[in-house]
Amino acid sequence: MLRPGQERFSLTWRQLIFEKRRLVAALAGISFAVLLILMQIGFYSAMNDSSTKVLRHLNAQLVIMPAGFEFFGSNHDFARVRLMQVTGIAGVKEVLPLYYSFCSFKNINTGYQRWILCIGLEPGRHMLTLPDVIAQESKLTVAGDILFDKKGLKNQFGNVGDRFNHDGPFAATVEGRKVTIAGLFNLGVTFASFGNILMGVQTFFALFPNTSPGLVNVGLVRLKKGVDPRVMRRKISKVLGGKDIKVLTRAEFVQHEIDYWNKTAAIGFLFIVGAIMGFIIGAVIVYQILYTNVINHLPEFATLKALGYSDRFFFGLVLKQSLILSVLGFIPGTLLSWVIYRYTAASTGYTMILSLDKAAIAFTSTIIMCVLAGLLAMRHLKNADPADLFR
Amino acid sequence: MNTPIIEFKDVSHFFGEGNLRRQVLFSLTGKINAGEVVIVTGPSGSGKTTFFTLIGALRSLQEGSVKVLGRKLYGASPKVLHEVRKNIGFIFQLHNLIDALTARQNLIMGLRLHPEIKSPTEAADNILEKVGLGDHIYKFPHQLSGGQRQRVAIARALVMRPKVVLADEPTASLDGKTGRVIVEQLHDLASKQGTTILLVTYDPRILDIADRVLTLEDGRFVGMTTREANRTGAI
Repeated sequence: MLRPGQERFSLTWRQLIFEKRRLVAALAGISFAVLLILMQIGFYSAMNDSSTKVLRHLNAQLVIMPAGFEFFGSNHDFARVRLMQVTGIAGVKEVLPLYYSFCSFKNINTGYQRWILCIGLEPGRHMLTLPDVIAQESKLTVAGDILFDKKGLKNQFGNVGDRFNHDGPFAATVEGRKVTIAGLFNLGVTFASFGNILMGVQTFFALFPNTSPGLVNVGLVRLKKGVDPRVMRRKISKVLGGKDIKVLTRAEFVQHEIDYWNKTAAIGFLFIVGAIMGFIIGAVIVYQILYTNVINHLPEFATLKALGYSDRFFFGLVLKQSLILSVLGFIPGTLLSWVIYRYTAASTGYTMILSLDKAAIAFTSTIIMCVLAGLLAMRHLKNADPADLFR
Repeated sequence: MNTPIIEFKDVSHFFGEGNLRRQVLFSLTGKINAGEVVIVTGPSGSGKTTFFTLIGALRSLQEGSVKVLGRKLYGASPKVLHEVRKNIGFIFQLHNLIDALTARQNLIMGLRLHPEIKSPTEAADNILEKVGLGDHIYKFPHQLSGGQRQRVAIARALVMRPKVVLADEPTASLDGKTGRVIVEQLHDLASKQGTTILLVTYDPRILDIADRVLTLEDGRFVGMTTREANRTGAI
């Protein structure tokens, strides 16, 4: 409609960038909210991820856990005999016991005792499909040799990983006994512990003379090829009966762990609360900005109304401004989060990955936050009565 | 010449509720013909601004009837009110320009509602030139003096060639000399376009530009002078 040479401009945009300082403040506020949301989701997902990493990599289709089992590391066990009963069931290839216990690890720098989760495996049976564990499994056959989780917190256990990389195998103290750090693997901080160590069952029972190999923490059930785990789970449950144990598929076992930390222990919930707080803080900041924007421009809006502009025009204006603010604030917020993710991952051992789905959640939240704030600020638009210009 | 652009009959208006209800306008009746320049004057509190907002479709009518550009305002839908306002050139006491836009853009904002004007940029530049702001079209309001801003406001009111201009205390924020120049400019441009002007003011120095001066006191018209009487100084 316009002839070439006609000046084109957008009031939405001009008004937004006119006061640079306010724009910067708005973007900083939104970025901060994005950062809060992303950090909380990041921690939450990192904790869920590392807390279920061992469980997800159990090399078995079915898992038998003791009744009352709370989380991986909780002090529950069942009789090994019960696991052996499964061996005879048609479709079962083999069973393997897994042992774990919290134990004291002497910080290699300070000498302080710190709690760490010890996992005892049958060496050579590929009980965990973690590549770095499989590659070093032969080391576990040596009595007294252990693998150390290099993502375990340095402030708890000392710089074990650095020292190993520099010096090679060296001695450490677990449960007051000498062991050798023979290798490193990757796991990270979980909801339950600040670090993990892996060892063969031989070493495990040497360290815990009071525990019996007859009491198993988790039983692994490997099935023959082509057997449906769900059918087998029902079958095994029926054969074993009793109230002392429970049979789960690996996926159910992982879900049980997630549910424990998010529902029963409600620790995961804290992170969600944090993300919601970020969302609310962001919404309040954006609301403040848009609100002052609307209030400061009331006389201008009233003048435009007198010129013949309708309410719909102003609603569109504020809505567009909210959307522009959310997109412009999201970009630096995400970049900053990415930097902090990397820093956090490097310094704490959390597996912090700024994945597309996390960014998508944060982006959607930002849009909702900004539009919500914009809609709230719009309530003040009705005060832009042209007649009020003449008070 | 004697087609009325604005007609009002028995217009009364009240402010407040219940015991505090107070009448500010009392059965005002009159009309303004095409091409006429009419000034409504009166002391502060006389109701002249209320009268102005009612005529300009900026406030809902309570009693009486107002017809502007052939449209009845009493009980009119928001759409009709928008339509009426679109065809009135408003000039306010405070210039009320949009801070984030240049002088030219401020005019174009008004022109966007008038697709019948095919070259808004030229139209804006032309009229800015006419009010003596040819060198200031790219300036923002904060870069202009009070008088210059009011001239932009006048240009904005006239650029879409309205049949009628309503001005509320256009000289209030200006010194006497600037105010005088501005009102003369408004008068010149309007008369060239054949535009009707209704100007509300308490500023006695500009009354002589009017064809008719209506004096409002306590919500009632108490006097009317025509240009002839005005010229002889018989206010």
